[in-house]
Amino acid sequence: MLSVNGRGLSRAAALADLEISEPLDGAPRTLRFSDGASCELQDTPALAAHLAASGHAESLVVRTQRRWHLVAAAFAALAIILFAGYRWVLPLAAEKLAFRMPHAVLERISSQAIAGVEGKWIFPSQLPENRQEKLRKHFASLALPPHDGVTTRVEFRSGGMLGPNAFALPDGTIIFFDELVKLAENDDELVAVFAHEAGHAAHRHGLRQIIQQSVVALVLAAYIGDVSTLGGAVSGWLLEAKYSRDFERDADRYAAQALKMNNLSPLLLGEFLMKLEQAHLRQKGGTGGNITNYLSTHPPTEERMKAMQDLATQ
Amino acid sequence: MIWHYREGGRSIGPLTEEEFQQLVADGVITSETQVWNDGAGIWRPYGSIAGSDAPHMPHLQPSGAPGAETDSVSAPLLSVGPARHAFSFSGSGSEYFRIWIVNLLLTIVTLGIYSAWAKVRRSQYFYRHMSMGGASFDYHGKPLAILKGRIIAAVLAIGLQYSPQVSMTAYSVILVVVLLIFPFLLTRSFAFRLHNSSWRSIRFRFHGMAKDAAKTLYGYGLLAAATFGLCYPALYHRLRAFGFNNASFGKTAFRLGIGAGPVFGVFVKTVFLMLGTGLAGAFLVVVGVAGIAVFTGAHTKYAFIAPVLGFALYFFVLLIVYPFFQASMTNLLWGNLRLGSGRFESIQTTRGLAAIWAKNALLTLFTLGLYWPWAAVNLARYRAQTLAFATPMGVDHFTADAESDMSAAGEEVTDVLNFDISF
Repeated sequence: MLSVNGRGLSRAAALADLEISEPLDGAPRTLRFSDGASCELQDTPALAAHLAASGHAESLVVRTQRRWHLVAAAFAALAIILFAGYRWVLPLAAEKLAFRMPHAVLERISSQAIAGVEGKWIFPSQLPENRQEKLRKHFASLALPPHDGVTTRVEFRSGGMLGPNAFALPDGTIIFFDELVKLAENDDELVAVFAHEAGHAAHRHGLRQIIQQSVVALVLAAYIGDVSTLGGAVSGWLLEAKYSRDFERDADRYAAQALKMNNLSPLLLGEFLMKLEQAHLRQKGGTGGNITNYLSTHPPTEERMKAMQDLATQ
Repeated sequence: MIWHYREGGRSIGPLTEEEFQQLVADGVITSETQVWNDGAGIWRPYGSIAGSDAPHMPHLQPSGAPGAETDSVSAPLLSVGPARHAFSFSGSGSEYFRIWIVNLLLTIVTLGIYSAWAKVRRSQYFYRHMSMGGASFDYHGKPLAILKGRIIAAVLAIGLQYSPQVSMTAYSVILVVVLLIFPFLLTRSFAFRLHNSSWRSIRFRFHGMAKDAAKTLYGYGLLAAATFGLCYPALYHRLRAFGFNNASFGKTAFRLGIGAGPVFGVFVKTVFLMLGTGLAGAFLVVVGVAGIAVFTGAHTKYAFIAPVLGFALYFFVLLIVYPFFQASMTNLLWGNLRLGSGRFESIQTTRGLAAIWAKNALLTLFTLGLYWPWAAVNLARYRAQTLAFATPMGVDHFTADAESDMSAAGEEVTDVLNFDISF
């Protein structure tokens, strides 16, 4: 029973009928009566004793917040959940979701992506039409590891400032830049690149990367967003780069498998990657340096070359 | 006499008079330690009762008393007389850390749903530990209302984020819709926050209309755009005037007593400061890079030093210019804010704010964000220490206005879309 007495005021109510605010480590507490009136009290030991004696129980959350060892346990649980989520749960969930996406959505995303850069960053191909056809036919004739029905269509563009490159879109379209085609000494090197990109397409890496990136950004926003959006952006970038490197390694493995199926050596891809790296460095100037590898979306080329060598001898 | 005292967020006791005096002699209990003895109705700093008969009503204590917990900032002493009430913040980083960690875990585990309850708890923590004139503030927002708002906000945010990848027309439509309803969201955001805030059980109110917000935003916004940003201070001023002049505490209205002129002044001073520190810093960077180039024989391996120094320069300028702007603007706006016959006083300093931000930023970075609860508390404490309310009439005369419930949709949507509309 609580009774409040003061100048010109006298009220009483059973504690059970009152809405009692939760303790916030010394902040005043509010007792709210059923008609909206409220009484602000200092959170003193007397009050705490009274409430405890009358059977008022604090919520589980409040009790957890109060004890340091429970807080430590919560912290450990949080760390484990975040680590396991980042490492295993999110990639798995993204994979499942990506493979359930209807093809119409994938096509939409892909055409939007191309439309966004066509005419600004990439331009129509300068390669002769019969060269393009010959390459397309060659690629179509290759045997490939399982690719879940994703049909790969090959397009050619001029990459301009983007240099020699090739990439796969979520709907299975693979874009080759003229600059990369010219860099190759023979068509087998292009087959290696095609096999790598086909790996990206077959395993829907593009979509999985988008999903994983979004979730990472969201969780970081919840955690660090309060603190600094710059910190969130940078750490998001670092975390996402790791996912990207994982996908690149996966595509390399697919490519090695595909090359072997067509009686070609996986070393083809490794050597061509070295050529690509040299070409990019020449374009940018300088020797690069080791720092950029940490931040890179691709594993270091030496590492990929070594992986190709291992896969070649298996 | 039975005593209790507070340390590290816990209440320790009961202690006998002898035990208590021993702790005082040992220096465990200082004049700032919050103590309680049977017979007192409230916690008080020990210094307020030592050697005298403890009165029952709380004293008005200067929040920046000498000997107060030493931060890297020494808060200036706000003189307290019978008509001037200093704000004070009684929270602590370690207390808030415990609340924050548990709530963060629950938020992650529930994929964000619990965040509404976490937000209510956080608001209540900061409101209830903030007091003025012996009474604390309170926050009344309800978690479910906030959750609804957050869901709407999330849908809009997801739409804005992903529609460009699917259809540019859809994206444009969503963007236009958001821009059109933004004045409404702004108004509701102010209203929700104010209606759910109270002091001594009297609620704040907001009377602004969305159409006035629209006129201000679009009118002055277009002006700012047309002048390539030169008239942005006018928009800044009008928005805050809209917020303050439509706010009231119970039946008493707030009034912002300055025009756009002083606001322009702060912006101009800030720009000059930025240019000055930027140039000085750039000069230092160039000298530094040249020195390193000479020292290392211009080896390209050290070429990455230049962007790193560039970054450092950027942060250095930010750390001087942003606190200057914030402190000056806060002092200007709050120093000219009236409530009935009373007025506010704000005495933030660039140095004080910069010290807090530097400490917060470094430690938060160092601890991968875990320092954040302490950082938030540091900032809240500084803001309280530099704010006071002076009234010739005392603080007992304010009366409440009629109650009404406000939905949270406005506040939550603007939060997620990252518009900062706090004063």
